[in-house]
Amino acid sequence: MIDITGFLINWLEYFAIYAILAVTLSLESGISGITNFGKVAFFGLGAYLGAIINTYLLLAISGVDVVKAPPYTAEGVIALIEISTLNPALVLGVFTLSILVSFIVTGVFGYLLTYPIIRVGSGFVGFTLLCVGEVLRGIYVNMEFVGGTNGMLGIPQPFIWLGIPMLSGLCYLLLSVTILALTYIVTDRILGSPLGRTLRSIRDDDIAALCLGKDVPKIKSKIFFLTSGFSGVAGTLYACYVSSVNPQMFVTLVTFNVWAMIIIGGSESPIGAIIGALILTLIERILPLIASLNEYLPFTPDYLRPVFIGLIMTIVLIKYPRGLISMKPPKFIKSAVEELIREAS
Amino acid sequence: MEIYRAILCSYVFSWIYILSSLPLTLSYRTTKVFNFAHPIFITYGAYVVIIVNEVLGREIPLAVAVFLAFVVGGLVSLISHLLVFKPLSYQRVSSNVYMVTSMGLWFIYQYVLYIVCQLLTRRYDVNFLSYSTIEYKDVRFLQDVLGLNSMPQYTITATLIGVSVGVALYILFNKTVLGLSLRGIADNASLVAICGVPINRLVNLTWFLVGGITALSGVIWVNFSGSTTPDLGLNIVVDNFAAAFIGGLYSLPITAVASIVLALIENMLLAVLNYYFGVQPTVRIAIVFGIVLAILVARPPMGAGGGLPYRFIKRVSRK
Amino acid sequence: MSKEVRHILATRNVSKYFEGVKVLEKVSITIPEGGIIGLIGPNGSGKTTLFNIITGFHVPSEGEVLYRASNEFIRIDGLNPHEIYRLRIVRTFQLPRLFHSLTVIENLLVTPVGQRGESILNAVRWRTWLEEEKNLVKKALGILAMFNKLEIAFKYPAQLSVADIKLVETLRGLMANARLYLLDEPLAGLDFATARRLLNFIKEIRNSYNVTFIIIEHRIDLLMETVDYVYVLHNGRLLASGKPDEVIQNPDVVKAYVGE
Repeated sequence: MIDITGFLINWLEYFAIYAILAVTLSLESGISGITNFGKVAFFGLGAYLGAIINTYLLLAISGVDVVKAPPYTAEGVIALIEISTLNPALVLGVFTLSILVSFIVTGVFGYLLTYPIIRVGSGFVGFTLLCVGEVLRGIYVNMEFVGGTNGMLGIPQPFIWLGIPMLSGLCYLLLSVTILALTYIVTDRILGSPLGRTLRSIRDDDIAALCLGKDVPKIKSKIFFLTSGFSGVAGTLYACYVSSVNPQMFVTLVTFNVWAMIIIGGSESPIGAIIGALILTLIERILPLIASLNEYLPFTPDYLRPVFIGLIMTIVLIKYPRGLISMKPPKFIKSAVEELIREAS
Repeated sequence: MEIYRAILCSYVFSWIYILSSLPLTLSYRTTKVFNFAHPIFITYGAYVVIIVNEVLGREIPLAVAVFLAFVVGGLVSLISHLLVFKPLSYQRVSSNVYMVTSMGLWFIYQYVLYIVCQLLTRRYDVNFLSYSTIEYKDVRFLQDVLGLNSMPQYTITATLIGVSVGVALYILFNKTVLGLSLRGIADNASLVAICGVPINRLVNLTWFLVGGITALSGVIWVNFSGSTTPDLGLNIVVDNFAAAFIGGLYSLPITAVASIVLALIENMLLAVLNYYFGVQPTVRIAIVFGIVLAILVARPPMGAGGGLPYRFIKRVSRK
Repeated sequence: MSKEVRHILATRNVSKYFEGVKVLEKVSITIPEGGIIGLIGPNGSGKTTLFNIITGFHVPSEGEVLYRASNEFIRIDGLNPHEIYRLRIVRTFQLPRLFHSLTVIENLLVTPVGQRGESILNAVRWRTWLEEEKNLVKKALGILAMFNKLEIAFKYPAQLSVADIKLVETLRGLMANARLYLLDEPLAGLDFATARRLLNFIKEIRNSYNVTFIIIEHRIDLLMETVDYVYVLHNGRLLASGKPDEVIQNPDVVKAYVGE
């Protein structure tokens, strides 16, 4: 008997987290023209920030000596479980703080990164950001206080004190979906506004946009602050959901997955990104369910997924380079203009 | 002793980077495709040698390895072009779409290789997912004859492959009509087409050469490194692209010099950091990234890769 | 002219080299405020390079560009293109660079600088910018209506004829409230009637707002009827300047155009 509710919560949780990444990627890459091949860098940074704040700060406030019982050791994890079940207000407070901090820190990190890359062509931008992801991973491996290669365990899920796993999962899902909705609304509003128009003009021809008075680097940096910030929040949500972080979770394959989502859905529309995230996370979540396949296959089914996703992505790109769902001009401008045309004629 | 090892490493890495970065620049100039799947040719070059070596009973000579790697790397490259990049070019898509597609290709190739390795590991009972060093019999023989037994074998292999590829490319590009047309396509394809050169066939040939030559650095790698894994390409990609960037994706000589300088800096710096601070070799990528960032700020590579006429330092004065 | 002429822009000994090749050599021109100035010359004479220098696209190798902002002259060479645009200098391109994923009306709407809805904080609260947006739409439609082109408002550039693309490129420049317009071959590809209408429209704008135009054009017959003053460039050097009828009879100019 498969636990359907559990599966649904799990799938939708992954969907919400990845959809935040996909929507922001479609805003920065599909609409503003920043080729972000280092999405995982911001996701991972947010996750590590969330992990550090939700463990070290929580332990420190509760009076545990973090030098003696750091959170990557067994004593630290046991202390964390105790605190997180006994002190709901503290856990929630620290969690909220971690969301805010990771938004700001990741956003500023993205903003600073735009300084070297904003003048060069998209290939260089993509490559540099790809490197950032790999460099950060190298740093996590070498940092002792985040557990090095083994990473950290026992990051408290902020609703764990509810006692019933289903209920706390549901609460966390609601929270994640709220943040996704916020991301979506912001992206959609930006798209329909004069800023969205400017962004699309920059993506089409950044030199012409510069000559039309748009401060291209500044606008791109601001957008990158916003999207990086939301990616960081997605990272924190992820770290607290799976209760652990380690360097192997933040490989370039994650970036590639998010790109596949926005390509399948159509890179110019946030709705498309959400649909893409829905489909791909479903595929990803169903695969462990049919893990019994393992007995019949002579190789690990995990390896099939990237091949499969890569094939879909390549075929979609060759057949429909603009994605399956294309962007339409904002509605209200059209209606306002039609009204004026009627008046004129 | 440390410094001796670091020098040897720099030497071998120089050849590996040259053999992978020059083709990258060449392919960008010819096709304007920013191929993120480029490092996969290295991986495939290395793995075809490993697999054949196991099948042959660990007796592979360098000549066979070079031939196999060249053909397989070239074919992989040619297939990517014919099945993916060429159909894309008919759609007149932006360069971003090319890049994303090449990234898709990268992961397809990489994980197909993982599957193949896992299957072979079961069949031959050897760990293909992390393979040890291969020793080439004919290079060993050459060393005995010339009395170079004190040198590590990989330095001989790297020199042999690097010098012969260099000479072959020099003759091809400077002494033959074919090479001249290839260079012409890299500079101005439509002009060459007007002269009656069969462009399609030559672009195919360029892709084959690019894949083949890049795969040869894989042949050096399996002789040098103690552990070859299917994500070998990912470990080299940064240096590979960095060298090509310093050459502005245009100049072949600058790319070659950049490869050597990169190899020297990172190996020496790594040796020093490791000796004094006990730093792990994983910071290699951070060193290269630092160099890339410095270049992006000081001398942003414009031109070939596009770019904005934007100046951070302004000079305004009132009159 | 009884009133003393105020100048809006001046270049002083501007030279430009590209990898050793001299494209412009010591070009000095002065542009009076409210004038319509023609800039002519054979192909490759450096006209577009001069535009590129004035609009901040290139930095001159030597010399300076002066511009009267409010009441004093400032040096504008070395400023970035968008900063020069904010000093209310607008250019159009010889090869139209319309934004291909924006409709014609959006292409016009993107032009005005400092729109309220362009900051992230305002963009998410549409009430803050809707009123301004409606006014801009009205203005854009008015311009399109003047050329009987209302029907192309929702078309994408790929769906337009070459002449329409060229016209939209120029109209996009005229959407911005500039003081100095640099038009690069605005008449190329336009039929006679539309070209006339465009020139009349330019004159009309000049007369009602006292703005200045510099126009690069190869259709000298049409241009000469409109402009007040002409500069002739040849091989990167200033060959002649003067009133249209003087220039056209200048033997040097005739030689440059016709050859020996």
